[in-house]
Amino acid sequence: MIKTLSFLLLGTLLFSFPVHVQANAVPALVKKTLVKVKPGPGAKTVCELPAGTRVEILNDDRNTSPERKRAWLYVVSPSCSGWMRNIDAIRCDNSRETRSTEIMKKYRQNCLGDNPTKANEESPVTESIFRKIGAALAGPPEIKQNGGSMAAGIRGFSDEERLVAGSTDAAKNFRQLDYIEQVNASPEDLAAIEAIAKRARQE
Amino acid sequence: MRAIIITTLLATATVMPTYAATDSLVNSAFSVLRGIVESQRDLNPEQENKLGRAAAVRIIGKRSLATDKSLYHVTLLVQALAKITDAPPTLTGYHSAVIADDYSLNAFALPGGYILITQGLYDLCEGDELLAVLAHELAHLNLKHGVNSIKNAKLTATLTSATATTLSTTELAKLFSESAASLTDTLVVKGYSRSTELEADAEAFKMLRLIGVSPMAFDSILRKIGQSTTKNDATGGFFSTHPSTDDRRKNLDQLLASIEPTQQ
Repeated sequence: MIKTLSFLLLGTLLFSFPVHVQANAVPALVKKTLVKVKPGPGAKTVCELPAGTRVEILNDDRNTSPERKRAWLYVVSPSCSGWMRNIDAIRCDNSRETRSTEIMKKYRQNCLGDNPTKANEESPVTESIFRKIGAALAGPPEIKQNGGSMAAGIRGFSDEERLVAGSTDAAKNFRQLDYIEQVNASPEDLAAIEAIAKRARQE
Repeated sequence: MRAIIITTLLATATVMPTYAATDSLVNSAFSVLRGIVESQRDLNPEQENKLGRAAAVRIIGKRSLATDKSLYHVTLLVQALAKITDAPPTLTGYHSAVIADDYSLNAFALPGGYILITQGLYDLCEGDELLAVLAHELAHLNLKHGVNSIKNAKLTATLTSATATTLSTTELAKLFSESAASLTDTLVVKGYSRSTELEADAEAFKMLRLIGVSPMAFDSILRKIGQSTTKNDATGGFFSTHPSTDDRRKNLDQLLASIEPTQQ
Protein backbone atom coordinates (compact mmCIF):
# COMPACT_ATOMS: atom_id res chain seq x y z
CA MET A 1 0.00 0.00 0.00
CA ILE A 2 2.79 2.39 0.96
CA LYS A 3 4.59 1.51 -2.24
CA THR A 4 1.48 2.30 -4.26
CA LEU A 5 0.95 5.64 -2.54
CA SER A 6 4.59 6.55 -3.01
CA PHE A 7 4.39 5.68 -6.68
CA LEU A 8 1.25 7.77 -7.16
CA LEU A 9 2.84 10.71 -5.34
CA LEU A 10 5.93 10.45 -7.49
CA GLY A 11 3.81 10.33 -10.64
CA THR A 12 1.83 13.39 -9.55
CA LEU A 13 4.99 15.33 -8.85
CA LEU A 14 6.53 14.26 -12.12
CA PHE A 15 3.62 15.39 -14.24
CA SER A 16 2.88 18.60 -12.37
CA PHE A 17 6.48 19.82 -12.49
CA PRO A 18 6.43 21.46 -15.92
CA VAL A 19 3.27 23.38 -15.01
CA HIS A 20 4.92 24.61 -11.88
CA VAL A 21 7.98 25.83 -13.81
CA GLN A 22 5.93 27.69 -16.36
CA ALA A 23 3.78 29.36 -13.76
CA ASN A 24 6.90 30.94 -12.36
CA ALA A 25 8.38 31.88 -15.69
CA VAL A 26 7.60 35.59 -15.67
CA PRO A 27 10.71 37.48 -14.61
CA ALA A 28 10.62 38.73 -11.09
CA LEU A 29 11.54 42.29 -10.21
CA VAL A 30 14.74 42.59 -8.24
CA LYS A 31 14.94 45.81 -6.35
CA LYS A 32 18.55 45.94 -5.34
CA THR A 33 21.72 44.93 -6.98
CA LEU A 34 25.31 45.06 -5.98
CA VAL A 35 27.53 46.87 -8.40
CA LYS A 36 31.26 46.71 -8.21
CA VAL A 37 33.03 49.14 -10.45
CA LYS A 38 36.69 49.66 -11.07
CA PRO A 39 37.05 53.08 -12.68
CA GLY A 40 40.77 52.63 -13.15
CA PRO A 41 43.73 50.53 -12.10
CA GLY A 42 43.68 50.05 -8.35
CA ALA A 43 40.53 52.05 -7.74
CA LYS A 44 37.34 50.38 -6.69
CA THR A 45 33.85 51.44 -5.83
CA VAL A 46 31.26 49.18 -4.34
CA CYS A 47 27.74 50.33 -3.98
CA GLU A 48 24.25 48.98 -3.80
CA LEU A 49 21.74 50.59 -6.08
CA PRO A 50 18.23 49.98 -7.34
CA ALA A 51 18.20 48.15 -10.61
CA GLY A 52 17.82 50.49 -13.54
CA THR A 53 19.70 53.31 -11.85
CA ARG A 54 21.97 55.31 -14.08
CA VAL A 55 25.46 55.21 -12.69
CA GLU A 56 28.09 57.80 -13.33
CA ILE A 57 31.63 56.51 -13.24
CA LEU A 58 34.56 58.82 -12.72
CA ASN A 59 37.81 57.84 -14.23
CA ASP A 60 40.65 58.71 -11.88
CA ASP A 61 43.29 58.59 -14.56
CA ARG A 62 45.05 61.94 -14.24
CA ASN A 63 46.10 61.93 -17.86
CA THR A 64 42.51 61.83 -18.98
CA SER A 65 40.89 65.14 -19.80
CA PRO A 66 37.74 66.06 -17.85
CA GLU A 67 35.61 65.53 -20.94
CA ARG A 68 36.79 61.97 -21.13
CA LYS A 69 36.44 61.12 -17.50
CA ARG A 70 32.82 60.23 -17.32
CA ALA A 71 30.85 57.28 -18.44
CA TRP A 72 27.32 56.42 -17.45
CA LEU A 73 26.22 52.90 -17.01
CA TYR A 74 22.81 51.50 -16.40
CA VAL A 75 22.69 48.91 -13.70
CA VAL A 76 21.18 45.93 -15.42
CA SER A 77 22.44 42.85 -13.68
CA PRO A 78 22.37 41.51 -10.15
CA SER A 79 25.58 39.61 -10.65
CA CYS A 80 28.13 42.26 -11.46
CA SER A 81 30.61 40.73 -9.10
CA GLY A 82 33.38 41.10 -11.59
CA TRP A 83 34.61 43.95 -13.64
CA MET A 84 31.53 45.36 -15.32
CA ARG A 85 30.49 41.90 -16.21
CA ASN A 86 26.95 41.44 -17.48
CA ILE A 87 26.41 45.12 -18.03
CA ASP A 88 25.20 45.54 -21.55
CA ALA A 89 23.41 48.85 -21.80
CA ILE A 90 25.90 51.64 -21.81
CA ARG A 91 25.52 55.31 -22.32
CA CYS A 92 28.60 57.44 -22.30
CA ASP A 93 30.23 60.66 -23.32
CA ASN A 94 33.42 60.92 -25.30
CA SER A 95 35.51 58.91 -22.92
CA ARG A 96 38.29 57.00 -24.58
CA GLU A 97 38.86 54.46 -21.86
CA THR A 98 39.82 51.14 -23.26
CA ARG A 99 38.09 48.07 -21.92
CA SER A 100 38.92 44.56 -22.81
CA THR A 101 35.66 42.80 -22.11
CA GLU A 102 33.31 41.78 -24.86
CA ILE A 103 30.63 44.03 -23.54
CA MET A 104 32.85 47.05 -23.93
CA LYS A 105 32.79 46.63 -27.68
CA LYS A 106 29.53 48.50 -27.69
CA TYR A 107 31.06 51.09 -25.44
CA ARG A 108 33.88 51.66 -27.88
CA GLN A 109 31.51 51.76 -30.81
CA ASN A 110 29.52 54.50 -29.16
CA CYS A 111 32.38 56.41 -27.64
CA LEU A 112 35.10 56.16 -30.21
CA GLY A 113 33.00 57.24 -33.12
CA ASP A 114 32.57 53.93 -34.89
CA ASN A 115 28.95 54.91 -35.27
CA PRO A 116 28.88 58.62 -34.61
CA THR A 117 25.50 59.27 -36.18
CA LYS A 118 22.94 61.19 -34.30
CA ALA A 119 20.62 58.23 -34.46
CA ASN A 120 22.81 56.38 -32.02
CA GLU A 121 21.98 58.78 -29.28
CA GLU A 122 19.26 57.18 -27.29
CA SER A 123 15.93 58.94 -27.24
CA PRO A 124 14.00 59.38 -24.00
CA VAL A 125 11.85 56.43 -25.06
CA THR A 126 14.72 54.00 -25.45
CA GLU A 127 16.43 55.39 -22.39
CA SER A 128 13.33 54.67 -20.37
CA ILE A 129 13.11 51.17 -21.76
CA PHE A 130 16.69 50.47 -20.79
CA ARG A 131 15.82 51.47 -17.26
CA LYS A 132 12.91 49.08 -17.32
CA ILE A 133 15.13 46.29 -18.56
CA GLY A 134 17.23 46.91 -15.52
CA ALA A 135 14.21 45.93 -13.48
CA ALA A 136 13.98 42.60 -15.28
CA LEU A 137 17.51 41.73 -14.30
CA ALA A 138 18.11 38.02 -14.23
CA GLY A 139 15.35 37.35 -16.71
CA PRO A 140 13.24 34.27 -16.91
CA PRO A 141 14.68 30.84 -16.13
CA GLU A 142 15.76 28.40 -18.79
CA ILE A 143 13.05 26.86 -20.88
CA LYS A 144 12.41 23.31 -19.90
CA GLN A 145 13.02 21.56 -23.16
CA ASN A 146 10.82 18.68 -24.10
CA GLY A 147 12.66 15.96 -22.31
CA GLY A 148 9.96 13.35 -22.47
CA SER A 149 8.46 11.36 -25.25
CA MET A 150 6.84 12.99 -28.25
CA ALA A 151 3.45 12.07 -26.80
CA ALA A 152 4.26 13.93 -23.60
CA GLY A 153 5.73 16.80 -25.62
CA ILE A 154 2.57 17.46 -27.57
CA ARG A 155 0.13 17.14 -24.70
CA GLY A 156 -1.81 20.36 -24.38
CA PHE A 157 -1.16 21.54 -27.92
CA SER A 158 -3.93 22.69 -30.17
CA ASP A 159 -5.31 20.46 -32.86
CA GLU A 160 -3.39 22.21 -35.62
CA GLU A 161 -0.19 22.03 -33.65
CA ARG A 162 -0.57 18.34 -33.14
CA LEU A 163 -0.84 18.03 -36.90
CA VAL A 164 2.62 19.45 -37.37
CA ALA A 165 4.18 18.33 -34.09
CA GLY A 166 5.42 15.13 -35.65
CA SER A 167 8.15 17.00 -37.49
CA THR A 168 11.62 17.32 -36.09
CA ASP A 169 11.93 19.87 -33.30
CA ALA A 170 8.36 21.08 -33.73
CA ALA A 171 7.22 20.02 -30.27
CA LYS A 172 10.22 21.68 -28.66
CA ASN A 173 9.57 24.88 -30.61
CA PHE A 174 5.88 25.00 -29.72
CA ARG A 175 6.99 24.78 -26.10
CA GLN A 176 9.36 27.67 -26.68
CA LEU A 177 6.53 29.75 -28.12
CA ASP A 178 4.35 28.83 -25.12
CA TYR A 179 7.13 30.07 -22.93
CA ILE A 180 7.66 33.47 -24.56
CA GLU A 181 3.91 34.06 -24.42
CA GLN A 182 4.18 34.04 -20.64
CA VAL A 183 6.63 36.92 -20.60
CA ASN A 184 4.70 40.17 -20.59
CA ALA A 185 5.70 43.71 -19.90
CA SER A 186 4.05 44.91 -16.72
CA PRO A 187 1.20 47.44 -17.08
CA GLU A 188 3.30 49.88 -15.05
CA ASP A 189 6.23 49.56 -17.48
CA LEU A 190 3.99 50.09 -20.47
CA ALA A 191 2.24 53.06 -18.89
CA ALA A 192 5.58 54.66 -18.06
CA ILE A 193 6.83 54.23 -21.61
CA GLU A 194 3.59 55.53 -23.06
CA ALA A 195 3.83 58.64 -20.89
CA ILE A 196 7.41 59.27 -22.01
CA ALA A 197 6.47 58.76 -25.66
CA LYS A 198 3.61 61.21 -25.21
CA ARG A 199 5.98 63.79 -23.76
CA ALA A 200 8.48 63.19 -26.55
CA ARG A 201 5.77 63.82 -29.14
CA GLN A 202 4.82 67.09 -27.51
CA GLU A 203 8.36 68.43 -27.34
CA MET B 1 1.70 -6.46 -10.06
CA ARG B 2 -0.25 -3.48 -8.74
CA ALA B 3 2.65 -1.18 -9.69
CA ILE B 4 2.61 -2.55 -13.22
CA ILE B 5 -1.12 -1.86 -13.55
CA ILE B 6 -0.75 1.69 -12.26
CA THR B 7 2.21 2.34 -14.55
CA THR B 8 0.18 1.11 -17.51
CA LEU B 9 -2.76 3.34 -16.54
CA LEU B 10 -0.50 6.37 -16.19
CA ALA B 11 1.16 5.73 -19.52
CA THR B 12 -2.22 5.35 -21.21
CA ALA B 13 -3.47 8.58 -19.68
CA THR B 14 -0.38 10.34 -21.02
CA VAL B 15 -0.85 9.21 -24.59
CA MET B 16 -4.66 9.30 -24.72
CA PRO B 17 -5.14 13.05 -25.26
CA THR B 18 -3.02 12.83 -28.40
CA TYR B 19 -5.49 10.61 -30.14
CA ALA B 20 -8.74 11.39 -28.35
CA ALA B 21 -9.80 14.41 -30.35
CA THR B 22 -9.48 13.29 -33.94
CA ASP B 23 -12.83 14.78 -34.98
CA SER B 24 -12.04 18.04 -33.28
CA LEU B 25 -8.61 18.02 -34.92
CA VAL B 26 -10.04 17.60 -38.40
CA ASN B 27 -12.70 20.27 -37.92
CA SER B 28 -10.29 22.73 -36.39
CA ALA B 29 -7.63 22.36 -39.07
CA PHE B 30 -10.28 22.45 -41.74
CA SER B 31 -11.52 25.75 -40.32
CA VAL B 32 -8.08 27.36 -40.54
CA LEU B 33 -7.44 26.10 -44.05
CA ARG B 34 -10.86 27.16 -45.25
CA GLY B 35 -10.27 30.59 -43.77
CA ILE B 36 -7.05 30.92 -45.71
CA VAL B 37 -8.66 29.92 -48.97
CA GLU B 38 -11.89 31.85 -48.67
CA SER B 39 -10.61 35.13 -47.41
CA GLN B 40 -6.95 35.66 -46.75
CA ARG B 41 -7.61 39.09 -45.39
CA ASP B 42 -10.17 37.94 -42.89
CA LEU B 43 -8.57 35.16 -40.88
CA ASN B 44 -9.85 35.50 -37.36
CA PRO B 45 -7.34 36.04 -34.52
CA GLU B 46 -7.38 32.37 -33.57
CA GLN B 47 -6.69 31.20 -37.12
CA GLU B 48 -3.86 33.73 -37.47
CA ASN B 49 -2.38 32.46 -34.23
CA LYS B 50 -2.38 28.84 -35.41
CA LEU B 51 -0.78 29.72 -38.70
CA GLY B 52 1.81 32.04 -37.15
CA ARG B 53 2.89 29.46 -34.59
CA ALA B 54 3.19 26.74 -37.22
CA ALA B 55 5.40 29.02 -39.33
CA ALA B 56 7.43 30.06 -36.28
CA VAL B 57 8.37 26.49 -35.39
CA ARG B 58 9.80 26.11 -38.89
CA ILE B 59 11.82 29.31 -38.65
CA ILE B 60 13.21 28.41 -35.24
CA GLY B 61 14.14 24.94 -36.50
CA LYS B 62 16.87 23.38 -34.44
CA ARG B 63 17.77 26.66 -32.76
CA SER B 64 16.51 28.05 -29.46
CA LEU B 65 14.90 31.28 -28.40
CA ALA B 66 17.07 33.23 -25.98
CA THR B 67 15.81 33.27 -22.41
CA ASP B 68 18.15 35.90 -21.03
CA LYS B 69 17.24 39.54 -20.56
CA SER B 70 17.00 40.05 -24.31
CA LEU B 71 13.63 38.26 -24.08
CA TYR B 72 12.21 40.92 -21.79
CA HIS B 73 13.94 43.64 -23.81
CA VAL B 74 12.32 42.83 -27.14
CA THR B 75 9.00 41.91 -25.50
CA LEU B 76 8.84 45.25 -23.77
CA LEU B 77 9.70 47.14 -26.95
CA VAL B 78 7.19 45.31 -29.12
CA GLN B 79 4.39 45.53 -26.57
CA ALA B 80 5.08 49.22 -25.99
CA LEU B 81 5.09 49.88 -29.74
CA ALA B 82 1.87 47.90 -30.20
CA LYS B 83 0.16 49.73 -27.37
CA ILE B 84 1.22 53.22 -28.34
CA THR B 85 0.43 52.72 -32.02
CA ASP B 86 -2.91 50.99 -31.38
CA ALA B 87 -1.96 47.80 -33.18
CA PRO B 88 -4.94 45.50 -33.81
CA PRO B 89 -5.64 42.95 -31.06
CA THR B 90 -4.34 39.39 -31.43
CA LEU B 91 -5.33 36.17 -29.68
CA THR B 92 -2.48 36.22 -27.15
CA GLY B 93 -1.12 39.75 -27.53
CA TYR B 94 2.23 40.65 -29.08
CA HIS B 95 5.34 38.63 -28.32
CA SER B 96 8.93 38.78 -29.40
CA ALA B 97 12.16 36.87 -28.85
CA VAL B 98 15.73 36.63 -30.05
CA ILE B 99 16.81 33.52 -31.99
CA ALA B 100 19.93 32.61 -30.05
CA ASP B 101 23.20 31.86 -31.83
CA ASP B 102 21.85 32.91 -35.21
CA TYR B 103 24.29 35.55 -36.37
CA SER B 104 22.63 36.35 -39.67
CA LEU B 105 20.93 39.75 -39.87
CA ASN B 106 17.24 39.15 -39.98
CA ALA B 107 13.87 39.59 -38.33
CA PHE B 108 10.50 37.99 -38.99
CA ALA B 109 6.91 39.02 -38.37
CA LEU B 110 4.51 36.10 -38.01
CA PRO B 111 0.71 36.22 -38.01
CA GLY B 112 -0.74 36.15 -34.53
CA GLY B 113 1.62 38.81 -33.20
CA TYR B 114 4.98 37.03 -33.05
CA ILE B 115 8.18 38.88 -33.98
CA LEU B 116 11.47 36.98 -34.03
CA ILE B 117 14.84 38.68 -34.44
CA THR B 118 18.17 36.97 -34.94
CA GLN B 119 20.96 37.35 -32.43
CA GLY B 120 23.09 38.95 -35.15
CA LEU B 121 20.66 41.76 -35.85
CA TYR B 122 19.85 42.22 -32.15
CA ASP B 123 23.56 42.66 -31.37
CA LEU B 124 24.08 45.03 -34.29
CA CYS B 125 21.34 47.43 -33.15
CA GLU B 126 22.28 50.38 -30.99
CA GLY B 127 20.21 53.14 -29.44
CA ASP B 128 16.87 53.45 -31.18
CA GLU B 129 17.78 51.16 -34.05
CA LEU B 130 16.16 48.13 -32.45
CA LEU B 131 12.92 50.07 -32.11
CA ALA B 132 13.15 50.85 -35.82
CA VAL B 133 13.60 47.19 -36.76
CA LEU B 134 10.72 46.09 -34.55
CA ALA B 135 8.50 48.90 -35.86
CA HIS B 136 9.14 47.63 -39.40
CA GLU B 137 8.16 44.10 -38.43
CA LEU B 138 5.11 45.29 -36.53
CA ALA B 139 4.10 47.20 -39.66
CA HIS B 140 4.15 43.92 -41.62
CA LEU B 141 1.76 42.47 -39.04
CA ASN B 142 -0.57 45.46 -39.01
CA LEU B 143 -0.74 45.40 -42.81
CA LYS B 144 -1.30 41.60 -42.84
CA HIS B 145 1.54 41.04 -45.30
CA GLY B 146 2.29 37.53 -44.03
CA VAL B 147 -1.20 36.10 -44.33
CA ASN B 148 -1.73 37.74 -47.70
CA SER B 149 1.46 36.19 -49.04
CA ILE B 150 0.21 32.61 -48.84
CA LYS B 151 -0.20 31.30 -52.32
CA ASN B 152 -1.01 27.66 -52.28
CA ALA B 153 -2.73 26.61 -55.46
CA LYS B 154 -3.02 23.03 -54.36
CA LEU B 155 -4.64 24.03 -51.10
CA THR B 156 -7.16 26.20 -52.91
CA ALA B 157 -7.98 23.53 -55.46
CA THR B 158 -8.38 20.83 -52.84
CA LEU B 159 -10.51 22.75 -50.40
CA THR B 160 -12.82 24.16 -53.01
CA SER B 161 -13.44 20.77 -54.54
CA ALA B 162 -16.52 18.71 -53.79
CA THR B 163 -14.45 16.14 -51.94
CA ALA B 164 -13.03 18.61 -49.44
CA THR B 165 -15.10 17.31 -46.52
CA THR B 166 -13.82 13.77 -47.02
CA LEU B 167 -10.16 14.65 -46.52
CA SER B 168 -8.32 12.37 -44.15
CA THR B 169 -6.41 13.63 -41.13
CA THR B 170 -3.15 12.89 -42.90
CA GLU B 171 -4.19 14.91 -45.93
CA LEU B 172 -5.26 17.81 -43.75
CA ALA B 173 -1.97 17.66 -41.85
CA LYS B 174 -0.11 17.85 -45.15
CA LEU B 175 -2.14 20.80 -46.38
CA PHE B 176 -1.77 22.68 -43.12
CA SER B 177 1.98 22.10 -43.16
CA GLU B 178 2.12 23.31 -46.75
CA SER B 179 0.37 26.55 -45.80
CA ALA B 180 2.83 27.15 -42.99
CA ALA B 181 5.67 26.25 -45.37
CA SER B 182 4.39 28.69 -47.97
CA LEU B 183 4.40 31.50 -45.40
CA THR B 184 7.86 30.52 -44.12
CA ASP B 185 9.18 30.43 -47.67
CA THR B 186 8.04 34.00 -48.24
CA LEU B 187 9.45 35.20 -44.95
CA VAL B 188 12.81 33.45 -45.08
CA VAL B 189 13.69 32.69 -48.68
CA LYS B 190 11.84 34.81 -51.20
CA GLY B 191 11.13 37.90 -49.17
CA TYR B 192 8.25 40.28 -49.67
CA SER B 193 7.82 42.27 -52.84
CA ARG B 194 9.52 45.61 -53.24
CA SER B 195 6.26 47.53 -52.82
CA THR B 196 5.37 45.53 -49.68
CA GLU B 197 8.71 46.27 -48.02
CA LEU B 198 8.49 49.97 -48.86
CA GLU B 199 4.95 50.05 -47.50
CA ALA B 200 6.16 48.54 -44.21
CA ASP B 201 9.03 51.03 -44.09
CA ALA B 202 6.61 53.92 -44.51
CA GLU B 203 4.35 52.54 -41.77
CA ALA B 204 7.32 52.06 -39.45
CA PHE B 205 8.40 55.62 -40.20
CA LYS B 206 5.01 56.85 -39.03
CA MET B 207 5.18 54.69 -35.89
CA LEU B 208 8.59 56.04 -34.91
CA ARG B 209 7.40 59.61 -35.31
CA LEU B 210 4.31 58.80 -33.27
CA ILE B 211 6.34 57.59 -30.30
CA GLY B 212 8.83 60.44 -30.49
CA VAL B 213 11.80 58.50 -31.89
CA SER B 214 13.84 59.92 -34.73
CA PRO B 215 13.18 58.05 -37.99
CA MET B 216 16.90 58.47 -38.62
CA ALA B 217 17.36 55.38 -36.45
CA PHE B 218 15.80 53.45 -39.30
CA ASP B 219 18.18 54.97 -41.81
CA SER B 220 21.08 54.20 -39.52
CA ILE B 221 20.33 50.48 -39.18
CA LEU B 222 19.66 50.12 -42.90
CA ARG B 223 23.04 51.70 -43.58
CA LYS B 224 24.75 49.33 -41.17
CA ILE B 225 23.06 46.30 -42.70
CA GLY B 226 24.03 47.51 -46.16
CA GLN B 227 27.63 47.89 -45.09
CA SER B 228 27.74 44.59 -43.26
CA THR B 229 30.31 42.18 -44.52
CA THR B 230 28.61 39.23 -42.89
CA LYS B 231 25.76 38.93 -45.34
CA ASN B 232 24.16 35.55 -45.41
CA ASP B 233 22.33 33.80 -48.19
CA ALA B 234 18.86 34.62 -46.99
CA THR B 235 16.99 37.28 -48.92
CA GLY B 236 13.80 37.50 -46.92
CA GLY B 237 12.89 39.14 -43.64
CA PHE B 238 14.26 42.49 -42.59
CA PHE B 239 17.43 41.88 -44.57
CA SER B 240 15.61 41.88 -47.84
CA THR B 241 17.50 42.42 -51.07
CA HIS B 242 14.29 43.41 -52.84
CA PRO B 243 14.44 46.37 -52.58
CA SER B 244 18.06 47.03 -51.73
CA THR B 245 18.94 48.89 -48.57
CA ASP B 246 19.97 51.86 -50.76
CA ASP B 247 16.52 51.97 -52.32
CA ARG B 248 14.92 51.79 -48.91
CA ARG B 249 17.07 54.64 -47.62
CA LYS B 250 16.08 56.74 -50.63
CA ASN B 251 12.46 55.98 -49.85
CA LEU B 252 13.04 57.16 -46.28
CA ASP B 253 14.64 60.35 -47.58
CA GLN B 254 11.49 61.03 -49.54
CA LEU B 255 9.35 60.39 -46.49
CA LEU B 256 11.50 62.76 -44.44
CA ALA B 257 11.29 65.40 -47.16
CA SER B 258 7.53 65.11 -47.14
CA ILE B 259 7.33 66.25 -43.53
CA GLU B 260 6.51 69.90 -43.24
CA PRO B 261 9.26 71.96 -41.57
CA THR B 262 7.03 72.80 -38.63
CA GLN B 263 6.56 69.10 -37.94
CA GLN B 264 10.24 68.23 -37.74
